[in-house]
Amino acid sequence: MRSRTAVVVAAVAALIGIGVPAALPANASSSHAQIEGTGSSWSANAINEWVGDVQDQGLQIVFTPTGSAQGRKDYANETNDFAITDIAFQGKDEKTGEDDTPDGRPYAYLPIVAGGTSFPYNITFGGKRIDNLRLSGLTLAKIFTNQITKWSDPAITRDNNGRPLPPLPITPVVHSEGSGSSAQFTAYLAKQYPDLWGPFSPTGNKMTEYFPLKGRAIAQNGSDGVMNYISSTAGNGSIGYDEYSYPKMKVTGGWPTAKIENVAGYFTLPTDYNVAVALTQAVIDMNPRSDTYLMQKLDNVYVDRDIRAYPLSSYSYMILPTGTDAQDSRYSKGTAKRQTLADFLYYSICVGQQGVGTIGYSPLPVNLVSAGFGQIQKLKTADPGVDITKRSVASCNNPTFDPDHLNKNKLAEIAPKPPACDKAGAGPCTDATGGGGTTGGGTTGGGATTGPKAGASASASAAARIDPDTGARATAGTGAAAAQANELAASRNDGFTGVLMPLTILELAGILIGPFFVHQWLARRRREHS
Amino acid sequence: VKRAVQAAAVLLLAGLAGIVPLRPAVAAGTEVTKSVTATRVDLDGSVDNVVDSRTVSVSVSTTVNLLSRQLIDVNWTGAHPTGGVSADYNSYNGRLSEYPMVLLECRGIDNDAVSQDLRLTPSTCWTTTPLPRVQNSATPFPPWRLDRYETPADRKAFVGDPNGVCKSDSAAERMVPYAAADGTNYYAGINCGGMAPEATTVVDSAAPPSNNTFAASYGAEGTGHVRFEVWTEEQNASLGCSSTVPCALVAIPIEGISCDPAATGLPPEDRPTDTADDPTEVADSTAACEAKGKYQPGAPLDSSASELTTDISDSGMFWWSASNWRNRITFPLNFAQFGTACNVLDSRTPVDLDGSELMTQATAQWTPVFCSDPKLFKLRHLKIPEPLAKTTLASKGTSAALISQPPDGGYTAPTVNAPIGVTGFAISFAVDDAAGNEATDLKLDPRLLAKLLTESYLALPSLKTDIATRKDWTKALLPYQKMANNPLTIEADPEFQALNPGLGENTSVVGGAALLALSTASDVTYALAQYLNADPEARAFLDGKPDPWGMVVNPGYRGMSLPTSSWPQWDAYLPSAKVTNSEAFKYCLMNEQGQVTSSIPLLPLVASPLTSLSAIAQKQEYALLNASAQCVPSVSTVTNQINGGSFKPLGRQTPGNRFMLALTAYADGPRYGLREAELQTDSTVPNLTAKFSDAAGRDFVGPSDASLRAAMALTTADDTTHTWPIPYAKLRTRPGKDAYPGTMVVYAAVPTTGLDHATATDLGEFLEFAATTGQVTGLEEGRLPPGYLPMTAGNGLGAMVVYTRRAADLVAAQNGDAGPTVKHPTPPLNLQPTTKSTPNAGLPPSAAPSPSQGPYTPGVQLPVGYTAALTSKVAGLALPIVAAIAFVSALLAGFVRSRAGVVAMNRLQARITSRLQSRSRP
Repeated sequence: MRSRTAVVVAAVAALIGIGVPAALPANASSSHAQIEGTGSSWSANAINEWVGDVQDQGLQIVFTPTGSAQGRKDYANETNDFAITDIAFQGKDEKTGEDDTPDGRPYAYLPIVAGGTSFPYNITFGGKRIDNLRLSGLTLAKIFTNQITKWSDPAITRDNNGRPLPPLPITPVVHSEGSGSSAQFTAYLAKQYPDLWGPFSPTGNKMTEYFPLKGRAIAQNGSDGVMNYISSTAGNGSIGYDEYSYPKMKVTGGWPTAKIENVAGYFTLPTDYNVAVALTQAVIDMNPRSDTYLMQKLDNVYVDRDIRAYPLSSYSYMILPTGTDAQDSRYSKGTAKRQTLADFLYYSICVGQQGVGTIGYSPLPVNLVSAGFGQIQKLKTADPGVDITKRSVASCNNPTFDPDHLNKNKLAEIAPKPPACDKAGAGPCTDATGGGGTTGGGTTGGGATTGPKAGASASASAAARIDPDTGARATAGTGAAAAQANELAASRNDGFTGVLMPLTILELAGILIGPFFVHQWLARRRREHS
Repeated sequence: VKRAVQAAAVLLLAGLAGIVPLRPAVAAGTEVTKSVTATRVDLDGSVDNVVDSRTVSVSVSTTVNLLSRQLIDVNWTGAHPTGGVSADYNSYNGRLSEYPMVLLECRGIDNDAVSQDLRLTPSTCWTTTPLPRVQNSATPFPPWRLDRYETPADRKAFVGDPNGVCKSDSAAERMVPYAAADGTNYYAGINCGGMAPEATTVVDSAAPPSNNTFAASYGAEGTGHVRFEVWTEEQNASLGCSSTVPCALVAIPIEGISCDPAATGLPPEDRPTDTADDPTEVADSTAACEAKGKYQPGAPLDSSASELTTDISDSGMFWWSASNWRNRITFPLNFAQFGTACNVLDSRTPVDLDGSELMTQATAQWTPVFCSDPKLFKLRHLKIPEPLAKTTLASKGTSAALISQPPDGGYTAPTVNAPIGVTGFAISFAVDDAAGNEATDLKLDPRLLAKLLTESYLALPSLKTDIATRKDWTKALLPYQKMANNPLTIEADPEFQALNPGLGENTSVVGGAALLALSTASDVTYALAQYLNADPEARAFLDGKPDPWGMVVNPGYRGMSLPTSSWPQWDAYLPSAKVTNSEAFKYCLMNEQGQVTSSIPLLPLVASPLTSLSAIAQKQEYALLNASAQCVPSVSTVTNQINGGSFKPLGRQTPGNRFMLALTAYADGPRYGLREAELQTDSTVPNLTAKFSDAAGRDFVGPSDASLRAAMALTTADDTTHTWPIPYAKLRTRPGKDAYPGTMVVYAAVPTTGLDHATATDLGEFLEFAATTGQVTGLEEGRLPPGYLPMTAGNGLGAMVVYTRRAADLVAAQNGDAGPTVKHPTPPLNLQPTTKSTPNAGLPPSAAPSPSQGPYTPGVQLPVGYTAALTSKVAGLALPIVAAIAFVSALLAGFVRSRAGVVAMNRLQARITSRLQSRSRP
């Protein structure tokens, strides 16, 4: 028995040794050059993560989060190599009256990451910080249009199922710079609450990147500025808006962030799952000849009837320089820079999407990744020297992909349902809404299905843990449920354990029984000898 | 059986063999000094008239083993004093300075013996804008045409434009085309445009500066100092410097053009001649060439300076002229070979390590080892705040968290806490002294750090005045009245002056009021907070006790409880309308109606913390102030009216007037050339309330191998948390004298249950690597870069190595073992001393780990029975099995009353144990 065990063990070890992917081809392109980008601070945390990730591939990228409006302006002035923006060129900048166009510089939009515009707040009263605020869209709109000015307002009490908040005045914190997050939020307000937003907005009932400063509102520069102000002492009573990653990374467990009511009557957070669910309703301009090809229309996202949807979900974009050497002065002799951009994007929209859930974003679905590859192709069209072979959806290891159903977003499929205490008229749930514990964060565990590693079994077990009818990850009503969103890895079947466990049992059994026989044998011998 | 085990071991070793590409160790950088005698000689008729002669000596801190974006120190003496000093020596305006020191990075070898395509010439020197290499003159005989050292061909009216494509309307033109690494020549004259892709004509104060340097030499000695950033092809492909493409730092002390106005021997069209059109051509062109400078030495450059307001003959514009170029001093630069990059096509799912940014420099060198070996796996370090990594670990969103502070209440599942790096935080500084020279040393004590972090410096004169003169005090604001006498900045603080005599008080007011720190939750902030909290002086200050000079803590922070992982913004002083309604702020605070109705605290804007240590390091490297207490108004192009504004970072500071302090990762210092302050360790000052005027009785230590080693020597392992906590209280006592207070250990927290087999195996391998080969110092992939104390027995960290290697086995095994004890690492079953292993002969002696924890040497025949980490997962299971066997056997033994039976069973048990052992480590 012993020797057989050893052989099996050796065989297992041998399998580990050889069970690895075949040799990778050498780097096809040798030449890269540093590129510089500016723009959205909404997506900056994701982009800077990728910038750090690709350094070991020899790619040097510098990204400065100046705000979407400035990013587009820099693009038009050819002072950056790419821009990141949350909205398309608008034609005219409402604040300055300047043109908001690419000024003839050829471009294409390429979606790079999804996320939720979250509403971090600071309500500290009697030495205690409230951390499970819920707000309906209407209340949110009234707060930011100065119709509701106290946290004890009956509308807020109603949103929180009758639980009154302290009588603190409300300070809305808005972005002072031209910001994509202001645009996303005001687009929502203009579409959903025109009666409130129209009269409030100096530029009429439409979206703006410059949130009007009225009443008690305070303006701060950039996502860092907004988040720093809200979390400060002076920020008591304040509520602002920014991408979920900012509150999520602010303090241990995440800074308190309002759950926003969706049209199904559930209050949700912008977790990677809930954002993925809502964005299945985004209408993407799929006309390749359109000026806004791949840009988003979010009207249906705001009113997604899925109980898991987070209404203020959106995509962020790269403005990709598609001009030739002659058309784009930043890219005269620009093969090395284009190659860097192409390789950076290949990483960002594929493997880079694994891990964005951890920091408060949501990965891109396959249709946008696929369209993104079409946009990257334009770099090659502009410059045949760019190598984009072997970079395709087929080799793209993106966590939303379901290889069997490429038209579905796996993350949206497996997203857990909210607990009953998050329903309007119930609860409120008592768990903190800081982000740390409430998010899925499961992109690592839910991971790869196309990679060589055992991702498929992981996803299978992940799927198995969700009751399709009840969204069973949420043990309804207990209130602590959403925090258990992803016990993905724990239950994975481990082949190795599968081999060793029986062996161990056999071995132990042998040990238990063996001495008995030995004893018998010895006793017999003793008897024989005596 | 034995053969099978050996076969497995061989297979596994084959898998590991590719791990470490062995490279010869490289020598550490040493300072290089060279000198030249630069003489300006005007030819008067046939007489050489020596105008000025100087022996210039230039030294460069290091020229070997350089990394991209590394800052090197350049010091010089003996140069002609500079007039028209540019506020920013990296700005192209500096070319207008008179007698500057020009420093450029150039490609090629500076030797006439090498072939033309390899030779360093002015054309291979990088300038970010074309301005310093294109000259157009309205008059026919500008100084460069009278340069007595130029060849006759280069004294023609139009030079450097072989095809004539760029010929302008000028009377004379000289172009020094830029020759890119790919062979392209970029001309950038009027009508021909075209510059290298990395070149720009737009100055962006938020962006890192160019490395073109037009620096000033001061005083009669003509001394100067700058830090020069070297670039590789990664930053600048057109320049193309790398470990294989030779480049050099070229220093050109501008001595002025040596003139030959008579131009005897040249064709008539190349000789200035008085004509009816221009009766004073000779005198004018001679005067322009022989001009000795319009500026007084040290005088600043006019804000409206141009080619017309400066004596161009002495300016930096003509660095390429024969008269100046001949005085150049060339320092060949040797770039570190950093070969294998990960493949951009590799789309394998990475094995993620989530967390600590303190490991960034190490993992940057480690990950290529894993990705480049197809038998291994793709390792990725996701840099996220440690507290988030702990949360994600608890929710099983990640498999490995890199952390320094174990979670409160422990882990939710059995988890090893394996040390992988001994490093820490640093307080980096970019400080110019009163004379404008960059300070190289700085001493800080915990109270000074507490003052900076608690927004206790008033930063803005208007704020100080406001507090001093305010009448409408509300109850909430009243405590702030006590801050009226607080200094504006640390520079004005007598405590800082006492510790840093000779620095003087200089400069940028706002920069000295805050420490650029993290806005996100971080174990680094937690460590810093522990250091402050353990210091009686800092703690008393936080609790409201004034320092000996009467400075008080910002009331918002009074009584603050520490430690904390998220440093808060607690200043709540709302300035009066006098401040908020002032020109400086009102545009950022006014509403749509143009009225200022609200007030906000300004000191949090001065603090303006950032989300990551890498973002902080980037700002600090270039001394870009992030303090945002500056309102930049926006103007409508339609109405031409100011219609609002935004608080923006102050950005780049002018050299000579910089002051910036930041919380950074220790290892980012050597990487980017950050200067790291010495922090106070012990204090024997008897009277803590007395004023002091020097550092007597206090010891200060900066980060180094020695000081980290001293700190680790003070640690006692904690068996509950599986950590080696830094004893901050002990640091302040005599035994802590030499221990660096910023020392931190980074642990890989990995669960020993619940991971899938592949991930567990990979992480086990990573831990084994991190504890052994990964601790060998060097700048190659797979090595440990500067900024980390190698975790070896030689450094007193043998127990950590043992723990992590054991943890590697437990992680791979996934049997739920919570990890070995820390204090007394039992020689585990599978970790016998490996004294018989072959030490890596290629290692520098200082870096070689002690034999007892020697690294394995892939590719080398290992002693029989020496096996690498992979087999250990079997052994990892073996331990509990053996324990169970022992337990059961012991029980049975009790029943088997016969003595012989006991003996026989013990023998059997021993045999089984030894067989299990033989399968694992010897």
